[in-house]
Amino acid sequence: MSVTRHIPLSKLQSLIRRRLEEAMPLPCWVTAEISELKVNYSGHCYMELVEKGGDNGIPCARAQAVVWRNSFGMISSYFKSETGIELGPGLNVLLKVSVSYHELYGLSLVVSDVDPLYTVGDLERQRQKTIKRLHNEGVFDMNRALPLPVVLQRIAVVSSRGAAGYQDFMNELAASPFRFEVELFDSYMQGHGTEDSVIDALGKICERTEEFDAVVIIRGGGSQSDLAAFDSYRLCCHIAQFPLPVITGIGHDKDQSIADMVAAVPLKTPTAVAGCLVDSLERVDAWLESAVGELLQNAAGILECGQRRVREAAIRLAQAAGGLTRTVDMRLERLGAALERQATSKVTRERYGVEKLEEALKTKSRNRLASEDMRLRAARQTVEGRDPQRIMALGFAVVRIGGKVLTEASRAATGDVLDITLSSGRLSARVEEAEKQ
Amino acid sequence: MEKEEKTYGEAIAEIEAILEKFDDEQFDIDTLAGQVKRATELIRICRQKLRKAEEEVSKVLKDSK
Repeated sequence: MSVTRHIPLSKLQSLIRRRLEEAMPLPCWVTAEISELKVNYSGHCYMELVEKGGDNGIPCARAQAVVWRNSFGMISSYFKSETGIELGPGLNVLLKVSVSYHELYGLSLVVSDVDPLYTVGDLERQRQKTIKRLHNEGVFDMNRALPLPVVLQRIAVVSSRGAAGYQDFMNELAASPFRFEVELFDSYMQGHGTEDSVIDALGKICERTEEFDAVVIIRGGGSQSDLAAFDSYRLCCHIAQFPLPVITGIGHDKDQSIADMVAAVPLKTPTAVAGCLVDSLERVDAWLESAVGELLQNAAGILECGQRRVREAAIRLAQAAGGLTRTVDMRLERLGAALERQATSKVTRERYGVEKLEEALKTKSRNRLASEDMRLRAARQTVEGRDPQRIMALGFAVVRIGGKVLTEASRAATGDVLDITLSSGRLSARVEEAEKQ
Repeated sequence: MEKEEKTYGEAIAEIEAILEKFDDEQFDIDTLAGQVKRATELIRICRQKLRKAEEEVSKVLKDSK
């Protein structure tokens, strides 16, 4: 087959260009997401716009766009002043474009205006979606529900070493009278890598949760747009589920980021975070001091109470002992008195006995003497009665023979000479006749 | 006279024995004076013992108060 009709490429391109310019009621407003954005050396801004369809985020439409230098300055500053963030990748934007078709460069959209309100609304919608999702998944309040340790002293810091905010934080802690153990987990805090970098740092801390009381996420300065990472679902999900309380000092001045919402303690600035830590130790310090005071007071109270009880017990003991002693005393006194009485009466009885004995001795010895006397008297009478003199006075005589008293006549023979004693005087006589019996 | 280490009881018993002897017909009157003297001495000793005992009792009781 041989082609007879042909045109050069440039002609085709200009044909397309002409048709396009005729067909499109330009310019028109288009919504798209910026997937790439570059400002080249000459000040023109080149973007890739996409429209993501479906759940997997694969673009269903894509186009190159350009903002010429003469309008880019105005557009970008207007956008920033209205939204607070820089025009950049990831943003959904509403742009006023005209289609330009260049024979050499092909199709491109020329941006002549932007509607920042659309982006604001979109960001807010995304935020609300993220918040709702976190709620639905039940993680939104997890970090906030963690009990904040009484002592916040071992701190894991997620920040950027060079950031002014980190320096402020460290200076503030250093100025306090307390000693903190701070370990920095260096991370990007602005730019596109922020989200992954912070999540990575949190992951490292998570392996050593035992070593820390809390996590501090701080950044200082930076533009509002960089806060987008702290609204992202993934990062906020990590923060919400972090096992240690998270304290944020991300440095916002308008609405809170979602990271702030899910963090246990959201604060505005790194300096405020440091102040919070210092306050917590001051509270602990004050509490310790008052506890010590209270302890001392209680101890003193307990001691005093104990002493009082001992004193009371001593008094009761003394009273009881006193009573007992008195009872025993009285018993002893009674016993003593009884003893004295009985001893005395025993002595008295004995003395009486001795007296009786003495009396008996007197009486008996006297009686004895008297009875002997009587015996002697009787004896004397008897003796006196038998006195030969007296008997002889009555007419009796004592006859003796040969000096011996003669009582039997038979003992005398005739012729015997008898010696006769009379009451007065003596006779000598001769026996004439002896009478036999 | 033996220097007594007789107890009170023994002294009393001896006095009573002496008194008993006085009733005995066989009692030798020659010993009467001696026996009376002996008994009187014993009575004196008993009295002394009683007085001493009394004093000691009251002293002990006073000390214990």
